[in-house]
Amino acid sequence: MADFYDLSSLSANHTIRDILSLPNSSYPYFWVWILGGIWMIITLGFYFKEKERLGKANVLSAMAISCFAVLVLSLLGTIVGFVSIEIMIYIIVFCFLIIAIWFFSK
Amino acid sequence: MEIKKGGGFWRMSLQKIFITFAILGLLIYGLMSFITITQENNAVENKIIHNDLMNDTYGSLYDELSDAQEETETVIGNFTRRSPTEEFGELSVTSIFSPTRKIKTLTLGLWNTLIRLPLVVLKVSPVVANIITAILIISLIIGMWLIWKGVST
Repeated sequence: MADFYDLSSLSANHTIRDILSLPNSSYPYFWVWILGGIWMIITLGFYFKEKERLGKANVLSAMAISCFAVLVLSLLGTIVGFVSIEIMIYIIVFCFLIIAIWFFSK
Repeated sequence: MEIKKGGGFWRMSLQKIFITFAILGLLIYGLMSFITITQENNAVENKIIHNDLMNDTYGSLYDELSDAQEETETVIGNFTRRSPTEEFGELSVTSIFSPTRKIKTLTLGLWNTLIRLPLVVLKVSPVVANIITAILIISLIIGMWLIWKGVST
């Protein structure tokens, strides 16, 4: 038989926050992987778009710009409640490191 | 001012590093302020500023600069409300804040946020972190000496 997620943690008056936080009950880092995937998609999109348009591209620029987007998304995640503060700190340090390396490489 | 080739390379690179570090510090402070203020405005339960690590590194810098902003607004308010009955020629000088203390706080705060925070989050050994900090400080001193030496010759 298939195993289904335990939805008993949802209250009768569940909000969008409860629904979005539900995957964290089975795997705490679900939304972190989603944010990482979004970062990868934006990075690759910027990189190949720039390479197609100009013939050459800087991967650090694409990574740094994606980091700005991921920072805003993770901030929204903390406001809604599906990204914890500890994860936010790791995301902040990772993004700041990439932005700092980009600044010093220019 | 003549720029020697050998010494000129070191001076211009170090100046670029200092300027880049300053701009990067401002950018990161702006981003952290954006995150902090947005969380406060939206009544987030667990704010990032409440985290011990963030409080030790970025929190003190944020509090210090917030106090400086309030002091500045108070002084501007007092200055604009000053009565025009003052005698002609009277110079009223109000010290807004101690620039030396604020620059020291800003430098240390940015240092904690840019250097110490990643070292702690990445769980680097304290011995290694102190060695890295010592190397950076020595490089900074040598760099400033090279700049001064370049100007004087």
